[in-house]
Formats: sequence, C-alpha cells, structure tokens
Amino acid sequence: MTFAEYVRENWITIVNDTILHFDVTLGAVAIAVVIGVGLGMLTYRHSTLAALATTTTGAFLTIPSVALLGVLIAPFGLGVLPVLVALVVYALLPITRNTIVGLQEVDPAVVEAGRGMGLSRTRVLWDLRLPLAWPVIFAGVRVSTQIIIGIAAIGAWVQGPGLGNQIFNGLGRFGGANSLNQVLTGTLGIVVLALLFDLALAGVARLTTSRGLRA
Amino acid sequence: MTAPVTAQRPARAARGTGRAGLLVRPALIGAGLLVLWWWAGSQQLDSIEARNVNGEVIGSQVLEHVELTLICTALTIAIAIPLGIAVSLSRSRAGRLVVLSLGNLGQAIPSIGLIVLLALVISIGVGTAVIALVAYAVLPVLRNTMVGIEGVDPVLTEAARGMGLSRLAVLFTVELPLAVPVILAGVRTALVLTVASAPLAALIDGGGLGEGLFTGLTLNRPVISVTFGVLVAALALLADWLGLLAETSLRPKGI
Amino acid sequence: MPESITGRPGETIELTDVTKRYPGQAEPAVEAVSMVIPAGEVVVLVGPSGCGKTTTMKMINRLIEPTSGTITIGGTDVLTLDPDQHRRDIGYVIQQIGLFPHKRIEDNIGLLPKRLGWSRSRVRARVAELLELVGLPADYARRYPRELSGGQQQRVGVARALAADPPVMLMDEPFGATDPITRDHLQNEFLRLQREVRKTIVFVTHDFDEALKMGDRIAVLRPRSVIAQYDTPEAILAAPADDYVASFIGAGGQLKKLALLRLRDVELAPAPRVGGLPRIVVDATVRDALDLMLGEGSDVVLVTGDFGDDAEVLGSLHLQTVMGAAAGKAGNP
Repeated sequence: MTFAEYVRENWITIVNDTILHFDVTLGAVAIAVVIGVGLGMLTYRHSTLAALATTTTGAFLTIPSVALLGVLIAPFGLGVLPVLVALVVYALLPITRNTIVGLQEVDPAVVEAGRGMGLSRTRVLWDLRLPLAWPVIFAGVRVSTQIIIGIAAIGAWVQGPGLGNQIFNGLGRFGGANSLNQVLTGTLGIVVLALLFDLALAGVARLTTSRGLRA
Repeated sequence: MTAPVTAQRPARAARGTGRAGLLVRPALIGAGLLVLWWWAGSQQLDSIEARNVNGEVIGSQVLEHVELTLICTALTIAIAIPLGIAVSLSRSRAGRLVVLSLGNLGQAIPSIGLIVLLALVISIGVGTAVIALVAYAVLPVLRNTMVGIEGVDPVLTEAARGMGLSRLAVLFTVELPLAVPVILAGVRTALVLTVASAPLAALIDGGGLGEGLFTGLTLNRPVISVTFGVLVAALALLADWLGLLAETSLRPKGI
Repeated sequence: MPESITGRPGETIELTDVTKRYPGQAEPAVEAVSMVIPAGEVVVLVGPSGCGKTTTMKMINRLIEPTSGTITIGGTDVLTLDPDQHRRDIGYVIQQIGLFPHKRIEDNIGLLPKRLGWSRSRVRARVAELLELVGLPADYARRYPRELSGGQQQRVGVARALAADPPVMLMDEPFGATDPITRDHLQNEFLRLQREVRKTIVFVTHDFDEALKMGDRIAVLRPRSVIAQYDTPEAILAAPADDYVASFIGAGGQLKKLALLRLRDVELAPAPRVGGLPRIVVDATVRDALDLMLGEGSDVVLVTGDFGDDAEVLGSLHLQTVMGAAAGKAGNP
C-alpha cells in the first residue's frame, strides 16, 4: 500500500488523532499561559525571585519527556492526564521567561508617565506593562507550542491521545505492511500541525497586539 | 521568530549567582538520587522488578547511555561547528535561510518519529540510533555557531579588517573567540537533547536507560519505570550542569 | 625618543577623480573627489552626516572599493596592492573604538606587530612605548578593555593604530563618543602626539570646531563629498568660499579665528613700565588674551614666558593689536 492509499483509507482515524493532538497541545498551552504569565507577574520585580522562576522552569525542560512520563504514571495512571501535566511542565519556561523579560523591559519612561498621572502600581501593570510586553510574551507562547507539540507524540507511549499513536502503532508492527506508512503519517502530521499552529498563532499575535506596537 | 529560543542563550545565571550557584544543581541531583534509593529500597520487589532494579543492570545501562551520549555529542560537534563556520564564511543568504528554518522546523519534528522512521528505512540498532540522535542535535549547534559568529559586533570586525587582518584571521582572532559563549550554549542544548532523547534508542535496540523505562511500562511495573525515569532525569540534569560548567570556565575573559 | 616612534614619517596621499557608486542608486555616494593630502599633515574632512566623508576615507584603506579614480600613497597606486597588506600600513581609529573585548590591552595593541612576525620582546617593548606615548600607566597592559574608561579605551585605540608604525592614519570621528571635557583632553594629547610622530592623518568629523582645532588643513564637503573649500583653518575663517562654508563656521567666526592664533605668533609691543597689569603666558591664544582684557577691564596685558609672578615678561598686547589680528593684519604665522 502506498502512503497516499494508506492516508486515504485511514483518514478518519488520522483526522481524529490530529484533532486530539491539537486539543491536548492547546489545553496544555492554555494552562501554561495562566501559570507562566502569573508566575512572571508575581516575580518580575524581584531579580532573585525572577531568576528562581526561570531556573526552576528551565530545569523542568531538561528532564527527558520519557523519564517524566514514566514517573508521572505512578500518581496519574495511564491516559490523557499524565500527558497533559507533562506538557504543561514543558511549556512553562518560554512563557515564564518571556513574561519576566517583557515586563522588565517596558520603557521606564512610560511607567513613570503612568505613575505620574496617578495610576496605581496594579493599574500600571495591567494597563501599561502587560499590553506593551504582550508581543514578547506571545513569542514565548509560540516557542512553547512548538516544543510541546513534538513532545506530545511521546504521550502515546502512556496511552495518551494524538498522532503519536500512529508512530507507536507502526513501531508495534515493526516491519509489518503499514508500519512505515503509519510512522510517516504520525511524524509528518505533527510537523504539518506544528506549522499550521504556528501560522495561526502568528495571526493571533497580530490581532492581539496594539497597532501602535506593530513594526 | 523574535522569541529567544529555549536554552540557547549563553548562561548568565552562572555569573550572577557565583560559584555557590554552581553547586546547587549537583546537590539537588544527589538528593533526588538518595530519595530514589531510599524509596526503591523500601518497596517489596517481586522477581521481575528485582531482575531489573539492581546495581548490575542499572550500572550497565547507565554506562551504555553515557557512551551513546558522548559519541553522539562528539559527532554533533564535529559536524555542526565546521558547517556553521562554513555557512557564515560563505555569506550565502540561501544557506543561512535553510539552516535557520530547518532549526525552527527541527524543533517540531518529534524525535520518536525520526528514530523509528530511520530504523524502518535503515535498520534497527545502535548505528541508526546514533544517526537519528546526531541529526536531531546538529541543528542547535549549527544554528548557534552561525548566530554567534553573526552576532559579533560589526565594529570589531571592521576594526580587525581595517588593521589588515585577512578574512580567516578575523574569523580566528575575533569572531570565533567572541562567539564561544553562544556556541557553547548550543552545545549544552545539544548535550541535554541527546541525553533526553537517548532513551528512545532502546525502542530500536540501541541500548541505554530506555530499556528499563520501557520494560517497566510494558510489564506494568511503575517501580521499574520510576527508577529508570529518575535516573534519566538525573543524568540529563547532570549533563546540563556540566554544560554550564563548561560555559562558565571556557568563556573568554574580558567579556 | 626611541627610533621606532618616529620611524616612518608620513607619506603624501593623492586622490584623483575618486568616485563611489552603489548599484541601484541614482546618485553616486562620492563624486569625482580630487585632493592632495600632504605628508605629515592632519587633514580634516568635515561635512554634514551622510555627505560621504566617511566613504571617502574608507576608500583610502579600501574598506570600501572605489568605483573609479585613483588613490596613491607615497606615489604607489593603492588599488594595485593586496588590500590586507595595504591596510597594515594604515592606522585606523574609529568612533566606536572597537577594542577586542576578549584580549588584554597588550594583545590588542600587539596584535598586528605579532602577525607581522615581530619577536615577542620587540612586541612587548613596543606596547610599553606606545602606552607611555598615549599617557597610560604601564600596568594597564594586563587589563581588559572593559576595565578602562571610554577615554582610556580611545587612547588604546590610537596606540593600537600606531602599533605597526604606519605612515598614514585614518581617524573616523575618533573622539565623537566622549564627553566634552575628555574630548578636549584627548584632542590636546593627540596634537602633542602628532608633533612627535608626524604621520599623515585623515580625520573625519562633523564638528567644525574640532576641525579648526585639529586640522592643518580642512576640506569642507558638500553632499557626494564634493569639496566646497580646501584650505588652512585660518584661510577658511578669513575668507569662506561661499554661504555653505560660512554656515559651517556659524556665529562667532571672528572669535574662532582668534582662538587659532597663539600669542607667540603675534607681534608684541614692548612692556609698559606700569605695575599691576594682568599677565598671560605666551602659549595662550589671542582669544584667551581678549577674554582676560574683558574680565580685568584692561586694554593691555603682559605676555610672559611662563606661569608665575616672577616669570620673564616678553612684551605686551594691546586691544588694538587684537582687533587688527581679527582683521587679519597683525598675525605673522
């Protein structure tokens, strides 16, 4: 069976896997944004806390995904949950770090002008710092997405959802009739999904960035 | 992409936190391994678990894992740095574009997919695992070599050209030494990436700590997979720490 | 004075119809510039930003290749030389300084001599000699650039340019990035240095006052590096070629002229036998003397050979003479 034939015959499963892959990635990124941006907002004003936040989340990223998943199945069992937790953990560093950097690098003159017109520190953070730092934060979101979309493939190993199942099925039937087609589908599918995802996020970045900040 | 890419920036933390900061990581790794030892020791192991979780098996798998990682990293450096220098020297816009977009795309290619694909196309075994791991790790080093060389202040290269140094002399006396921190950051990323992806080699008979991990899962024995998972994580953090040490000690003085 | 400092005297640079045209641009960046830069002199190229003065300068060491025209140094057509060999004979100082941050000061200065195959001891001696020449302590040799202030770094920049004893130096706004006090200091030091080394120097700046101070000659440039006037500072102040040049001189042109004139170059009257007159040293300028007259409310000052009340009195200067000097009569430079 050729690759095209395989895809044509199994497209329902493939689309299904793709949607599930997308869902778990999006869910993880959403949770990571809440945690990462929150962490950044809490720590950006204290350089030691900020350094602690980035080194800790950075250390998470050095933990191999197979190792983390292997450990996570002890408390969470098999399925979606350990995958989701692992993906959130991996998505934290770029978002947290870019939030901190973005908030810190807002032009002090702008902040002073805001303070000067009587805005409280909290208002300055929400009305000035966050919107100005948003492009940087969102760049971090894009990097996070690209990282975890590939890691999500390994999730199939602990019976998680997504295109990784194609790869592991192919591996399970190593040398069998469709094994190469399955692995190819899974791998290419993830690459294409990553590209489309990034394109979509680029669009969102454009829409959510103040026109005054666009280059 | 405007985003700073994960872990590819030269380590700045090392200078800020000083020598003491460099000791925190190994202490944490040691503590983690102690906890693991205590925890594994407190478990009632059945015969299958006992056959996998013992000093001999662990020792040989750690050794294989380290060996695999070292070979791959050495090959990665040997390929990526000269290639990066060549692309920068050629000033070829096309070459630059290809490398940078491959670098971005490479992050999205799932390592598991790459390894299994290559195994299907070539064969299973350590050789294929090495090819896959090197292919995966070459990109960050290649890219950081280029970015590091291009990131050197043009004022400095002009000053060097202005005093009559040839292109090659400028490369070796000014550009490469100043690019060292960025290149090392890339090597560190590659090293961690290799340690982290090496368990996948076990899926195609490449050996290493992945064997224990996958055994634990296949046989549904969390004790085994947790033990080997923690070992792999410790090894990765150790590799990252060694990379950080190298970055701190090899950084040219004066910058 | 060690031999190597004054080793190679300056050589004449001659530009003939030098043009630089960038592809895709309608107008040339530099159009048919011809000028002779006499050996051992400081020639300042001055003009607004974007007028092509830096491009003109960089064509001399071929960091930018001319589209047409010829450039000779000491009679040799530089376009026939190997560019790298050629640049080793030209000192190059830029505004951003460009010290190599990963090399110690001694290695920055000694880099080119080492590549030229000088022995280690000769390089070390040369570094020590140059540090002294630019007024830096010898132990700075072991420091890294970031451990030096901006002004100190630029001194090292000048020392590095002089390292291989080039007959020609190109300086692109070398003191532009320093604060006014440091700049004044560096300028004075550099003039003192140049009296010793006598190199041929092409100096680019957009600051006309700096041009007046540094230049033996000044070339005022229009866009495309077209020469509006090329003459000595005194002559340009006395007779600006046109309104464009006059606009550069700006307000206070007469005072600027007086600032160029040293008292030692003015014919002094015999000292009057009156006590209590203000005193000024002969190294000062006529402008300084005028300032003293206005400050003290006296129309005559005593000119002395040295500082101090018991210094020898060389003569006196009257307000009348100052006014004559402004009109260009009393000076005999």
